[in-house]
Order: sequence, then structure tokens, then C-alpha cells
Amino acid sequence: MQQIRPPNRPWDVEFTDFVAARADALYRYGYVLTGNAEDAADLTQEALMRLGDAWPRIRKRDDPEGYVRTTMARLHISVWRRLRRERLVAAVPERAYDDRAGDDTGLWNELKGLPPRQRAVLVLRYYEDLSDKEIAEILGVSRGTVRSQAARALDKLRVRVTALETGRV
Amino acid sequence: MRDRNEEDLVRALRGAADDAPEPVGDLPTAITERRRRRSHRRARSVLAAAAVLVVIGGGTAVARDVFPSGGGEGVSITGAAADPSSPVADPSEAAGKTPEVSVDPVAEVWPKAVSTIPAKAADGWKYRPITGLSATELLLTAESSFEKAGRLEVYDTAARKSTVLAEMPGPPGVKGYFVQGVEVGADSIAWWGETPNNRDEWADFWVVPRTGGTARQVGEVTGAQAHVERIGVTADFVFWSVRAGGVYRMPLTGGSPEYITGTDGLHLLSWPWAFDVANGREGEDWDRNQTKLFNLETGQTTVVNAPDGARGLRCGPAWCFGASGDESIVQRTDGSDRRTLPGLSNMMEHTPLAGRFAFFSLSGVTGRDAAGEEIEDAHAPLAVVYDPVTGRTAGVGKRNPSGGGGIGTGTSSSPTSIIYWDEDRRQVEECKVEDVSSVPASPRDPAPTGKTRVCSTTEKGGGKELTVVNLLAVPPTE
Repeated sequence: MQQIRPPNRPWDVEFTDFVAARADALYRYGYVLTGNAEDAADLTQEALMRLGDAWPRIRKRDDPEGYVRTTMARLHISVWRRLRRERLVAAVPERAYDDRAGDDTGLWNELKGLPPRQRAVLVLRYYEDLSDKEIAEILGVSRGTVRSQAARALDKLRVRVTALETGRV
Repeated sequence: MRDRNEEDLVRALRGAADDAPEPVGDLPTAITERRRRRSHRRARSVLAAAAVLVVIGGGTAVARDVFPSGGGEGVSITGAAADPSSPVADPSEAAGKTPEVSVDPVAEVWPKAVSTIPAKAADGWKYRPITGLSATELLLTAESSFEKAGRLEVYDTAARKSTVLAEMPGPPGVKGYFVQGVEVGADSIAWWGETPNNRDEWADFWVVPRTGGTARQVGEVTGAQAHVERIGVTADFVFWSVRAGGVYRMPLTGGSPEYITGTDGLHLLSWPWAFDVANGREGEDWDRNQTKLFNLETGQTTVVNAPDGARGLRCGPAWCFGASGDESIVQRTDGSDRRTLPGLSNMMEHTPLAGRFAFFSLSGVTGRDAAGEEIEDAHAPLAVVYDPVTGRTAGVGKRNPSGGGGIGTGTSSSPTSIIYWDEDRRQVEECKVEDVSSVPASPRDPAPTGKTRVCSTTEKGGGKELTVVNLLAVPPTE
């Protein structure tokens, strides 16, 4: 016998489909943002939970994937802000998990030494391939801040900025 | 170390993403579990206007025609709200038995209450029913896009035509504004709106004469006052309760919001009535019984007489519905006329619709087949409206061939008088066999081979007409 309970929500069906289809890609994005599997899984879960709550208004009006990626970027910098002190202590690049195939530059490990916002800016720019204007909107900062954070991060990583930079808006 | 450039950074990030270690546990399963666990706590619809309810098919297998000759007729099954001592059907055990609910289609029970209306206005905007204004007038919003109400219209079910009552413009300069609850007062219609997609604690109120005209913004509120739950409107004020409890008012001529002393913990039901349990599907107050009903105009308080063992009792000015054990109960606020409602248990709305009717979903499961799979009667109505005045039940909604279905209730701030659905819309599950290699997998695992079955559920058909039941057209005593 069924108990009195809240009605099931129609959008749950499609939300589940969305999660099934996109969770893997979102987790990988989370991994690039956070640099470790545990945080990536947490971040992806939390962002998908929020998407689930917002699903009825997101689904037809906006782009759910964009919503969840934005949520992940924002959550990432806010969580990092809170844990900053601890993380800075552990931020010395570890050489143990180095020399992975495809990254003979050591860049992946050195990304771990960046403050979260700088890392997020680089991920959005070079992994998500977004313009500085879009990054500014996602992170809720000015375009100037995006530029200066990116410049500082690239400088720290000793990445030479080529002609790519000039095309940015 | 050699010189690095941006291409190296792109490669490093993409490479790391491709090589990401497998997450611990399965994400989709984890999400489903977390959502299920907290659905009781947080099942609040973000847009207050999202009011389509869904009955999930009870059958674990595809529904079958239990009554092959019964297409369109009600299910001829007996015993509604009759003898409280009669055993209640338990679908998990009652192999081959039928549910003990007698449900005729609403078109036979209350023919005057049923009408079909176009699903869209002439300009293509979609209608969303709000509530009945009278036995023959339906208040609708017309939406330019999903849940973006832009116009109030009145549909005359006798003349079968709609007239525009007012535009719903939204405040200038406010981005992401959405109209939420609309409330019908004696002389005017009021609504509130907010920006649900940002975190601003902000809401505003609007009013237009019931005869139509130009809508006018009454005022804006911020902070805790903006957590609007339900509203009411009189000749002089707009009233609203907030989610944490408490009632405010603001003059229709504008001005500062004012907290109404003595309304701590109160929630509006339908002006002037308020009660002492949280509204909607918030959850925490789910099983708590309403103990009182307050008339904010007269100051009169009615004490609800709840029987021992009652749960989730919710009362309008006259009738209360709730649960006791596995059954639903109905009574008057003073405890008289108490009855159990065998076979009706899954209440879809918790406050009486139009102050009088209860609304239940119906599982449609009639038993199990030899293999132990539940059998769902595809002709059973999706849901049931129960009238305590006459004891009659009426079947509403359209069940999908595969079981379950969707049904909407009007989006008014006060409990609505409208239930509606789209007869032609159905959910269809489609499965196809795909090569496993098309499914994303970690590049570190060996490439899987073979075929897999991928299923998705989509909605098909519909979008032309809505079938609307207006409970204001049910005769008061018939």
C-alpha cells in the first residue's frame, strides 16, 4: 500500500537520462578543475544535485550542460576559498604522479600549485575553450580580473603566451 | 626545461581528463540515491508554477488490457468510501483482484465540469490553467516560453472563446523575472513574481481589476519577506505568507510591507484563512496534523478535532483530509462525518481543492501475473477526485499505454479548482540496440565489444487541446 508522499516529478525521468549520458564527461571536467578524483566526484555530484533541483526551469529555458559546468566552476572556487589555508600547505607539486603519457611537460602537476581561481581561469580558457568574457560571467568577476589571473598563472607555470592571446576578447 | 606554450597546456589538460582515474562508485546511481533520500525534505518546485504531477506506472511490466472491452469507460470496480471495515486491496498480494474503488469518468459524474480548451492561443503562446473564476470561466496564463507567463486570459467554456484580461509585463530592468502564484480576489486579481534563477531575495506584487485592464506593480520586497509562499488580495491590501511562517501585508496603493502581529508560524491557505502547517510539499510538516484554522479577517480560530493516529490532516474551512494507517480519512474540522476512503491512499494535493475536494492518484495495478509481474489496467483512470459532500468519486487523467501518466492542477496561489490533462499526450519508452563502442568509456579500460540496449522515455503527441475539469462547476450538493 502506498503511503501519502510527494508526487514523483515528471522531469525526473529526463534528468536521469541527462545524468546517465553526461556524468562521465562532467566528472572529467571536474577532474581537470580539481586535480583529484575524490574532489572531482564530489563536485560533479553536488553540481548535478543542484541541476536536479533546478531541472524544471533549466531544461527548456537554458542549456543544462552549461548550467552544471558553471555550477561546478563556481563551487570549485568557493570550496577552495574555504579550504585555502590547508591546501596551500599541500600545494607543493608532487613528483610521484608525474610523467604521464601525453604530458611530458610536468604541467599537470604544477597546476596543483595554483590558487583555485587561477586554475579555474586556465581550465575554462584552455580546456573549455571559453572567451575571457564568458569566463568573467561564469566566475562572477570582471574581464580584467580574468586577464590578470590568467597572466599570473601562465607566468607561474612558465607558459609562453603566443599569438593566441591577442585574439581574446 | 623546454619552453612551454599554450598548446602544451591544452594538451596537458585534455590528457589528464582522458586519463582521469575512474570515480569511486557510479555517479548516476549515487545521484539517484541522494535525490531519493532527500526528496521528502526538499521536494519543493523551484518555480511555484510548475504544477504538473505525475503518476508513475505501478506495473513493472508493460500494462495490459485487463478490461479489453472497457475502453473509455470507467473501471467497473466497487466499494468506494463505503464500508470502512472492508479490506483494502493490497496490490502486492491481491493476485488477480481488482482495486476496491468505483471510479466512473468525470465526464459522466460531473459532465458540466468538463471542457476542452485549446492548448495554445492564436499567437502560439501556450495556455496554463490557473483556477476557475466561476462555473463557466477559467483563468489562464498564456506563456511565451516555458513557464514565462506574459498574459492573463479568461476562457468562457460556454462560448468556447478566450478574452485577454491583462498583460503581465514584469518590472522594467529586472532580468529573469517569472510570474509565480496568481490569486483571485473579490474585486481584483493579484500575483507575485521573482527571479528564481538567481540568489536574490527579491519578489514583487501586481494587481489588476477582475474585469481586466492594465496591471500595476504594487511593490517590491527583499530579504526574508521575499520568501513568498502564498498570497491573498482584498480591496485594500495584498497579503502574503512566507515559507518560514508569518503573514505580511502591503497597501494596494503601495508603501511599506507590514508584518501582521500574531501570525507567527502561520501560513496562508486561501484568504482570509490561514493554518499552522507549512504549505505545499516542503516536507517537514508532512505528517503533522493541522491543529487550527484561523480567519485573519475576523480573528476567529477554529480548533481541528483530529482523531488518534491521524497523520497529515489538512483542513479547509469545512473539510479535512489526511491519513490514518494505510488509509485516507475525511472529516469535518470538528471531527464529525469522519470516514475512511478504502483504496484511495496516494494524495496528490494536501489541501482540499476548491475548499472541498480531495485528489488522489490511482495505481491501476490490479494484481500479478504468473511470472509475478504486476498487471496494470491501461484503462484505469490516472487519478481520482473525491467529493465528501456526496461521497462521489470521479476518474480524471489519461493513463499511458505503458502505465502511469501526467496530470496538472491549476497554478493559483490558493488551492485551485482546476485539474487538467492532455488526452493525446503519452510517454513512450523507446529502446534500441547499439554497439557498445558508441557508449563512452575510459580509454584506460580495454575497449568493450558487443551490443547494448539503450532506452529513453519521451513524450509524444498532444499539444492541441487540454481537457479541463473545473470543480466550481460541480453542483454544491449533487
